[in-house]
Amino acid sequence: MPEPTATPVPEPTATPPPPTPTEGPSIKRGGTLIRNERRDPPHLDPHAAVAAIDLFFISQLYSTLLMNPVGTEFVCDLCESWEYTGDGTTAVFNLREDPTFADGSPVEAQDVVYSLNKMVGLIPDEAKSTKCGAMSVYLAEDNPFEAPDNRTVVINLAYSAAAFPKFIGMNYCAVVQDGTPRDALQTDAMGSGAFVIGRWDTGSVVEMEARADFWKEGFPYLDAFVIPIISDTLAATAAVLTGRLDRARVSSAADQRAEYEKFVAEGKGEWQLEPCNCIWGVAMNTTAPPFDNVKLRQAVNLALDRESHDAIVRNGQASVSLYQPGLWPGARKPDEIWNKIPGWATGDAKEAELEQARQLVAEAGYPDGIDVKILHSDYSRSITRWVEWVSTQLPRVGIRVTADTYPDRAGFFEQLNNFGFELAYWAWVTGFPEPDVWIGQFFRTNGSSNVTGFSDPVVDEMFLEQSSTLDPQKRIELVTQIEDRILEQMPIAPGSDSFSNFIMWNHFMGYDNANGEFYHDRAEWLYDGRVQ
Amino acid sequence: MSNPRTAFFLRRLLLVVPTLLGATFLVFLLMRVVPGDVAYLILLGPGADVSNVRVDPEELERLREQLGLNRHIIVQYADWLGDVGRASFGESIATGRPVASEIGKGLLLSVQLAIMSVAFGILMGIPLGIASALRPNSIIDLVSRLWSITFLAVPNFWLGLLVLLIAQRFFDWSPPFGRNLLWDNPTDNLSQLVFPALIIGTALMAIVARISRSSLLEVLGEDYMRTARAKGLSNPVVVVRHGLRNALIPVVTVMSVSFGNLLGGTVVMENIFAVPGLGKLLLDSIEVRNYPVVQGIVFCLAGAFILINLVVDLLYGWLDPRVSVQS
Repeated sequence: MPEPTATPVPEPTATPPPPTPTEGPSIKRGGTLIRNERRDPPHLDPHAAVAAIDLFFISQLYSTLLMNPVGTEFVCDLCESWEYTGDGTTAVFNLREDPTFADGSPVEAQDVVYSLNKMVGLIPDEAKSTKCGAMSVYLAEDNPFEAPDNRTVVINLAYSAAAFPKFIGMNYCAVVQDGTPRDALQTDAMGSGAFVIGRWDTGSVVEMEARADFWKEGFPYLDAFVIPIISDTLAATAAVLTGRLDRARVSSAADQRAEYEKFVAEGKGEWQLEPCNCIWGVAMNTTAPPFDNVKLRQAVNLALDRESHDAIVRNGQASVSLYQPGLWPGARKPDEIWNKIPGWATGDAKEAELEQARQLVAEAGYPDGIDVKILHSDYSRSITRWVEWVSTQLPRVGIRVTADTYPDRAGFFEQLNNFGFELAYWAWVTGFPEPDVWIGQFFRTNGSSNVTGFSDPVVDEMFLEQSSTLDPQKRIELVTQIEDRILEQMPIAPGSDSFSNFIMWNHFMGYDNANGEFYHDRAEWLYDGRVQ
Repeated sequence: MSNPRTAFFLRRLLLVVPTLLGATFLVFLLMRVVPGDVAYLILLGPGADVSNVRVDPEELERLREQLGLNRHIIVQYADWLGDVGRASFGESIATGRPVASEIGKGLLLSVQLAIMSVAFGILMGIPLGIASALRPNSIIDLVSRLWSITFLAVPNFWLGLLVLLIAQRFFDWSPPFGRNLLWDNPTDNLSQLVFPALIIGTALMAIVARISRSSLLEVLGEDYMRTARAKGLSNPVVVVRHGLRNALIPVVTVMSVSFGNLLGGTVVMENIFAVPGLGKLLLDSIEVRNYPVVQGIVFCLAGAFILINLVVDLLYGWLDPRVSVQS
């Protein structure tokens, strides 16, 4: 629990009205969207879900108190209005009267309170949500959630946290019926979302049907989703190009791109490049030699040629990135990174960086170089390609790398979790661009995913400060200062963000893949999705 | 037992029990010895990235307790045997669904794929082997051998991807997806399975052609073949009835083992052609340490192998009466 800091009293938040759906002359309702997923959702409990893939299902089946359709804007979903009261440590949500669950029963304040308690692990025998549970640090110790009447939810906070509404708007933090245990959500959902599960044949196909009695008038646009489970990207590529799928994430292989260009040229549909918001990097174990030595960590960073990373590892489809997710408004732009940040030099300047890295390795006590291992799993060809790339980069400065390969995620995660590594493959999905999450998880002392064991009291202090800073500009400045501080100590040498390739047929125009901002999926679909 | 064939059959049936116990216990043990904790993976999620690498130790412990992973391995194994006795195989610890139904659904398509592959292998391989053996070192033989070696050398996954790309680029076609059962949707079922079966069948064809060629060549030189010809029997009758039948024993052996392998071993083809079969289920389950599903599949595969071997042993006697039950 962070120490409460001086809390500025926020202005009551005026809730913008829900956007009115717009329909052009070419738009018609109805239809079924056929889009694949790589695997089945393991269950339909939004609070136990952890992977981005699951969000697509959750976002169609459930509703949340707030929605976050664009950037930092929040609009009501289940609520009619909301505001901070008092000194900003109480948030009051007034619920709409019309929302109903799929069985027709009304969504009431007690359902919301139960769901919030379930998310943060306050329901006996129910696991705390990996995603939403993080908001427990913002909550008052006593009675964090209250339902004074059927239509009012009061959330008592420990301090007025800037990130709090983002959590409430995240699709993982959806509302389930009062008393619904985890087990009841294994194969069916009882949500208040626009769709219900129609048919689910595990390993084969999931079908979701629009609710005829959905409480938002005129929504959803679609009649149904058919989601075949196709795990091979090339199979999905062939299926979408031949019209078996309406939309699919397709192969990023360079030799496939001519096919996508042809698809677009023939007027069949769109080829979209969406930032994946998956930043990869070299994680260094700061808790033990040799990478407890900051000079060696800086040498690793300087040794990496980011241009070749983008060409080789990312197939030429990459977006330069530091630690701040691209979706965060303060994230640095490419021209603020290339040839400005140490490690991102190009051309002759890169040669100078390599020389500097060699000196750092010698100064760290390894004049003849050093042999190290890099921990990785090989459940994806791209990861193997990344490890091969790293293994060619670091020897240039005297850091000789041997791969420590785990064939699957299970052993890899265990090893990573126990600091059983020197260097490691590191990747993070940053589609939830909230500094409280990415700084808190990765760089705060004992953060939930602080794989490197990095610990800096200054970063910890600045983290708390930014967390309670409600002025967006001031918060951006603070976060950038934190990033600078982390870059100096370099627990992780980041690579870049990649792009995912999507093919979508014309008859489903207007659908935003929202791959990065995955928690927007439902919002995008309900407000902007349309069938031609 | 008065009937030696019945006694043989019963003896083999009795061996099924220790074999199944041994195979399943070995896998049970191995799955728990290799690094990786299923409770950890459940909390991280199947598509987890490094973003969620740490889990709450209390949650982890609670889940391990709930899944029964903290009990002694023998107790866990005994529990699982109890589930087998009830023909349920327990529940998938990743999804909570009954394992028997998950396996059953995957098994149908995998069995069909295996049968079709073996059928293609036999239908293409045996004529090729006969043609080669009847005209050794002729052009037919050379072409046949070249053909066989080519398909032995070419990996299945490469052929599969090639077929998929050619079908999409030149014929604007891709296989149907989903669980298309033969009796529900025969057109989609066959469209989905014919190419993977043909591709797997080509590799089997190569093996069958080579084995049947060498086996038939050997048989053709036997005294009884000369005798058959001396009796005035026509060449096709001599080759098919007297030669081929005896030459088929090694082919039957190889194909039976291949059939067993194919039941769980077509994962690459299942992935490429989006067939929700047993191989893919097995691979996915191993990856997330879904013990009950892996155990259930191993049990079924081991059982299938034992059954196939038993049938093959009985077939030997039918194909070649010289192979007696006692021998």
